[in-house]
Parts: sequence; structure tokens; C-alpha cells
Amino acid sequence: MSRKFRKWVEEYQHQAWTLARYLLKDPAEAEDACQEAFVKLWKNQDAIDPDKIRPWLMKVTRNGCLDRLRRRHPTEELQEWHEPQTVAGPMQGLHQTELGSWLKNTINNLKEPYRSLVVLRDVHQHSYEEVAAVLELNMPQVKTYLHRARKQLREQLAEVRP
Amino acid sequence: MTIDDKTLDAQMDHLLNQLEVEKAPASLTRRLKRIPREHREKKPLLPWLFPGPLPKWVMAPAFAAVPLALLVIVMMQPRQPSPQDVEQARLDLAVAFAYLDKAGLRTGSQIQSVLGGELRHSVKDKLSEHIPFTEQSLQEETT
Repeated sequence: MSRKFRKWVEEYQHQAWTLARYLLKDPAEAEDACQEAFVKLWKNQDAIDPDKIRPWLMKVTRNGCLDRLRRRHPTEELQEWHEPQTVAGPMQGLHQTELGSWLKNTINNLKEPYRSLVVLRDVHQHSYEEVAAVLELNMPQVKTYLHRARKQLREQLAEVRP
Repeated sequence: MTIDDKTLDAQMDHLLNQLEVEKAPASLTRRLKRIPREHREKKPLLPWLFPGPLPKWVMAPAFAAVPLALLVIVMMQPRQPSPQDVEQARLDLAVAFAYLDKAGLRTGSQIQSVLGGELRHSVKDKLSEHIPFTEQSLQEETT
């Protein structure tokens, strides 16, 4: 049992960590959120379908992060279905290397569920089905919201690209 | 979609592809690997009855049994009789012994009379059987 859990830790810790980092930004809090998610995995391992460990873990990690955000900023952080926040100030003429870190920041500034969608689909390369399971959305919603999220990113990229 | 939009899309896809999953810090890995040790499940008390943790209602009868057990213990303690109780017991005992005495005497005299009569008859009859002249001498005596 413990060996199986260690295998899950090896396989999924980086993805859970990346998701938590994108959502919470604060590394210490992201570590706590990841640990909480893995504790829940340990306690519920018998009840979870072995083929769905990753989406289950991602969902629990995300929900834990959102709870933390609610506690942190009860009004401002979780305007989930609202219009996107624009990145402050034009950053014209960024180089390719700088664009990478710019994109990370821009993703960080997306609202939920756009941010989770981009992280899960474009960073983690999860399938649409898995993303739908994690975010408890249906497939058309996943595709629509992902399209919107990318559109926001693209619009902001248009402002800053060299 | 214009050509510019297409190049913008391509550029963004390229950027997104460059984003990688971040490596979790070693401190987190250590914390995660400690989880099985720190959150080991306790063995259930009655595994055949309650495989999981004991439901709270199971403890209710246990708590109710405590005052009951105390009550039983208190009731089982020997009670110190009062002087009146002792006096009454003594009188009851005297009456009981008097009855026993009387019954003993009556039974004794009855046994004596029944057994005595029976013995007298049986001894006399046996003797007259074994002494044949007795009958004759008896007749002679009467004549």
C-alpha cells in the first residue's frame, strides 16, 4: 500500500506542485496544499478508481487551492466566471526568452477556471476528458472556456510581442 | 482569421509548449513521503462488526452502562441492620424454634406410638407361630 502511494508521489507530485504554484503563487502555501491533497489521496486510496488517480488528485489539489484563495481574498480572487483581468501596462518588444516568463505571469493573472484550464491542458498536457473530470465541466464547456482563455492570452500577447 | 492572427496563434502555441511542469521542491517530496508513516490507520476495535472507525452511537450504551454498573455495585454492598431489625429477627427466630420444638415433640410421640404398636404385634405373632403349644396351653388356661 505504501509502495503504491510512493509511486503516486513520484509520478504526480510535480504536476500537483505546478498547479498549486500557478493557483496560489506562494510556494509555502502551495506545498501545504499539495501535502493536503496527498494526505486525502492516502486516506481515500481504496475508494478511488486506480485509473483515475491523476484527475482525482488534480481536482483535490485545485479545490484545496481555491479554498485557500477564498480564505485569503474572499471577494477578489474567486470571481470565477467574470471577464478577464488585463495585464497592467504594455510590455512592447519582449524577447522570446522573456516571453516565457511573461506568459507564466499572464497565466497566473487569468481568472478561474481559465487558469486551471490552461495549466491542466497546455502545461500538463492532460486530455480534454481528464480536464473535464478535474474541473467538473462538460466537454463543450472545457473547449469553450479553453478557447476563451487562449483568446485572452493571445490578445495580451499581441500587445507585448516584438 | 487574418495571417497576423495565425502567426500570433503559432507563437502562443510555441510559448505554451515551452512551459514545463515545474519540479517539486525536495522539501515537498520529503513531506509527501512521510505521509504513510504519519497517517497510518488505526486498527478497528471490532473489525468483524465495524470494519471502519467505530460509529459514535456505539459509545452511547457504553456510557449508559457506567451509571448502571455503579448502581449495581452500591446495591450489592452489605447493609448494616438497625437495632429494631435485629430485635425483630431475634423474635422471629424464637417463634420459628418454638414451632420446630413443638413439631419435633409431636412427631416423636407419633413415631413412638406407631412403631411401638407395630413392633409389639409383630413380635407376639412370630412368637406364637414358633411356640405351637402356646395355643393349647392358652385354651387350657381358659378352661
